[in-house]
Formats: sequence, structure tokens, C-alpha cells
Amino acid sequence: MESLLEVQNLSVRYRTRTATDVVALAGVDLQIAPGEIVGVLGESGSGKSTLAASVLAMFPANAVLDDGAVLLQGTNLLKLDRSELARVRGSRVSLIYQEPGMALHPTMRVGAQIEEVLRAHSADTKAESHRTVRELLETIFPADADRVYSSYPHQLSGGQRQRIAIAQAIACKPSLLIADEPTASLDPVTQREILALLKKLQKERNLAILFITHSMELLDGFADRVVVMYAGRIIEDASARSVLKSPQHPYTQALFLCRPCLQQVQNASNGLRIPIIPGEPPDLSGRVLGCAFEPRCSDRMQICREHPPQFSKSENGGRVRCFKFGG
Amino acid sequence: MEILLSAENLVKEYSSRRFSRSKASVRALDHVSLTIQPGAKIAIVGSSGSGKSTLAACLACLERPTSGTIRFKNRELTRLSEKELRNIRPHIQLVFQDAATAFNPNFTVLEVLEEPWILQTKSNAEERRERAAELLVRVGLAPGILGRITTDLSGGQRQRLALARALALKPKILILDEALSALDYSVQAQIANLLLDLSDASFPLLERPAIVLITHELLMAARLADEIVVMQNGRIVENGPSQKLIGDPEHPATQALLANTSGFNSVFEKRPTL
Repeated sequence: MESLLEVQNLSVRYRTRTATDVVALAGVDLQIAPGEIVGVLGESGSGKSTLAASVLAMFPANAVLDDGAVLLQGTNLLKLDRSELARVRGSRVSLIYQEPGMALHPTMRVGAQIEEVLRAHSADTKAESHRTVRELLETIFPADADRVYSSYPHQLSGGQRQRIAIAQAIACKPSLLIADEPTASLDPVTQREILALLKKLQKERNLAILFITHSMELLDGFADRVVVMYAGRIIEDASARSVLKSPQHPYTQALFLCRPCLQQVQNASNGLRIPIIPGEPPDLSGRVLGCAFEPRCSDRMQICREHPPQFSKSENGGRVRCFKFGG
Repeated sequence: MEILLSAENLVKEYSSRRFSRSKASVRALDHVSLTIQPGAKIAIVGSSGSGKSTLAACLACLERPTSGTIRFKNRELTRLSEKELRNIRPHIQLVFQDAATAFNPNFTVLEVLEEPWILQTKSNAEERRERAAELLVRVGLAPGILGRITTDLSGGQRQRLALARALALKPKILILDEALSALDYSVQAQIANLLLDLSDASFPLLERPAIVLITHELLMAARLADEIVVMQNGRIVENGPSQKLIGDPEHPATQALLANTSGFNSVFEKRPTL
């Protein structure tokens, strides 16, 4: 299938005040098809948020782009100038964050804030953009679109504010939505509602979503494909069902075991400990010779310390970066 | 059985419109009663706005309830003055979600740990340094980090340090308000095991604190606590032994929490049974 987004060998590091730089992305390759939901699963320092920001060419001041390209329908976003980028952001690719309150203007009614996005990217008149926003809010808030339209952000709950951020993000009908931990500050019930809304938008608008998260349970039944990141690299990439049901990489397997599951809780006798990943989070100085997970891996071999593993085809039809599978 | 702390009919109201004439107020706690036995492990679960954090703040004497009583060691805490409460605070310690903001950013690890002793006990610098090193070992940190600035630590290390500081004065009750939620899952598992270590029944009862875990994650609650209290709209809607509560949840609020946290767990086939 023709891909919508193609990330090629993306390598980003951050300069620090101390001598060594921190490697955030070390050669990431990723393709997203139109209308596909790709879940990026990773912990702190895995590079998942840098990946999200890079797709919109939004780099912090201390970031250095070493190599790579981000192709959106053939256009390299990393080569565009500021005004060209401004036209792409919000109209063809948009971004939602963890904290929707931060993304909204505190003293502006939310309806007007959504209209602002529309008018920045189209020649619509005020009346036209008003009508578009009303229709949009009616699909997102079927019960009380009127009240929401004229509310201020502080009058809405966290879940409602995230819906407004989503409305803003999709107002111009982008083909790709980057969602960086959009449900992390919400309670489990509201989380499910937001996921259901995103899934609905994917189906109705053929919207592709790059969904960044540290919670694998959110991806079950939501993502089409799951990409697992560790220390700035993609280490596993397969259909969501395969990764969640039979993870291949030793890191993914160990990570999944850290979550208590219903069966485990019911069978656990009092005082039994939870399986953990031993050791410390990865060294991001980039001086690792072999596999970054090697020091914590229960299946490590001699070769893992000496050479970085390359992708191999995994049994579940995806790719996995581990010498157990050939490397 | 002996009771360490008992809260009865706690009501906490916040006025929602401080600057308007209307008297509208939000009832965050609505007649909540709870007892904690020495060394108990209790989890208080509920979705946002259920009142669980308000309850934690009231139990830790950070908020005064609008009405109701909290008895600890035969004293009625809600009537004590701030000065009298100073003698109670060492016994009831609270750890928050975000350990990054819990410390003075200019403090070293040693300074963080010795502050409670400087404020509450008579001790000399050498003693404090020794005891701080012991505490670090107890929470799984290397004593070598005593001289590091807290902002240099990772999230997991900071949360361990927050726990160590809370333990510094040998509290009878340790309240953890979403202390695991902000951490990566691999770090959550490590800290959860640490809590199981601290509350292990092999320690003498006098040396292990009762643990009150505030969380919205029902399964983690069940894994760590013996008893679970479910809150909704400021009320306790269900409580009981952890195993019974997740095996046979009765209240719709409990069922909803369970349905929303266990969605993933059925799919990972390789998960070993313990």
C-alpha cells in the first residue's frame, strides 16, 4: 500500500551542558498507511515523544538533527521553511498533547478557538467557519454542543477539554493526527471514551493516527499496528494483535509482565512480588556498542554486547531487532 | 483487634464559587467512615472526582474536614491546633504522585533526608548521615548518591527518595496518593515490590507502617493491598477484601473500574501464572 507518512533513518540528539550528548532517536524507520492507527509504545527515554515532535519538525532549541527524512505524501517536512511548515501543521498533520488545558486559550470561548484554526488555513468566511464548527461539535458532543460552544476551557472537564483539542486538530481535515499521550491525565473511563472518539474519526474520515503511549492496555482493540521503542530505536513492529498477544522481543515480554493482570492478581498468594525488569533504564549517551537492552536482558548472548542487532522478520509477521531471531 | 486510626462520618465541602454570592459548594466527602489497623494495607480506588485524594488529605491532616472525626492514638485530630498537630505529623506521612516537585531543587539527597530529623528530633550531623545511608539502602538506592542534587535523579529514583523521606520518622501510617501513576510500568513494578517489602509480614508489627494506597488502578490496588475501598461521588460505595472485590465486584462503579483496567490483561498468552 502507498504510505502516507514515511520516516527514514531519523536520528536526533540533544545537546546538554555536560560533555556528552543524549541520543533521542538513533535511526528510526517507520511507515504509516492512510487511515492506519499506529501505536508507539515506549517508556521514558525511549524517544517516543521526540519521534512525535519530529514528524511536525518541532525540535527543541538544543536538538540536533543528525540524519533522516520525514516524508508526508512525498514532501520532506524537515526541508520546509517556516511559512511552508505553518501551512502543513494543523491542516495536513496535527498534534494533540497530554494536557489539553495547556493547548487551549484560557480566556477565549472554545468555539471561537476552533474557528480560529479553520480561518488560519482556509478562505472561509466567519459564517462558514461558524457553521463548520457547530457541525463538528455536534458530532463530538451530541448532547450539549450548544453549551460547549460558548464555554470557557475552565468550565469543561479534562475529558471534554481533550475533545475540544481533538476538534481543533481535525477541523481542517488533516490526513494524519499525532497524539502524544492524549489520555495520560484522564481516568480509565474517560480514557476509553477518548479512544472511542479517535477510532470513530479514523473510520469516518480515514484519519491516520500516530498514537504515542506508555500504556499497552490502551492499544488493545484500538491500534492496527504497534511499534515498541527502547533507547531511541524501534525494537519491535507488528500488527497490534501480534505484539499484544505474543510479544517477541525480550524487552516487550518483560515490560508486559510488569503489569498486574486479573489472573495473576487472583492467583497471587499474599506477599508474592511482581516480575520486574532488573537494572537501570538505558544509557542514552550513544556509547553502547551492542544492543541497548543487553544489560537487562534475560536471554542475552555474547554477540549482544559486541554488535548492534539489525531487524529480522519475526514469526508474527512483523520485524524485531534481536539476535535471537537472527539479528 | 486494635485500631490505629478511625475516621467517622467525614464530610468535606469546598465552596465552588468563592467570588460569587451564590452559596454553591461541592461535597467532596459525604459521610465517609474508615478504620485502619496497625500494619494494614488498604487501597482507596475511584475515578477522578470521587473524593479519594480529599480523603487522603484529611487523613494526613492537610485538610480539615467540614464535619466528622478522625481518631488517632485516642486523640481527636480534627480539633487539634496546628502546634499540637506537629506532634502527630511524624506518624502520618504522605507521598504524592509527582516526586519531581516534592523536593527543594537545590537540595542534595542528604539534605532531603535529614530535614525531617532536624525539624523533629535532636540529632547530630554524623548520626543523620549514617541513618540517611541506611534509609537509602532500605528503598533500594545506593548510599553513594547522598551528595547528588535531587534534580539529577531519574523519576524512579526520585520516587524512592520520596518514600525514604516519608519513612525517615518511622511513621505508623504511610499514605501514597497516586505515588505510582506517573512512573513507567517497569519502574512501577519495582516500587510496588518495594512497598510489598516495606509492609512484609515478616517485619515486627511495630516497624512496619500501615499503607494507604490511593489509586485509580484497581488491579495494582488488589496486588498491593489486602482490603479495597471503592469511592464514587464522595461516598464509599463498596469495600472488602481485595480478592473478593475483584473476583465478584457488586457495585457498578467497581465493575466499571475493573472493566477499564483489565481490558489488556486477557490477551498476553505467555503470562506465567504465579
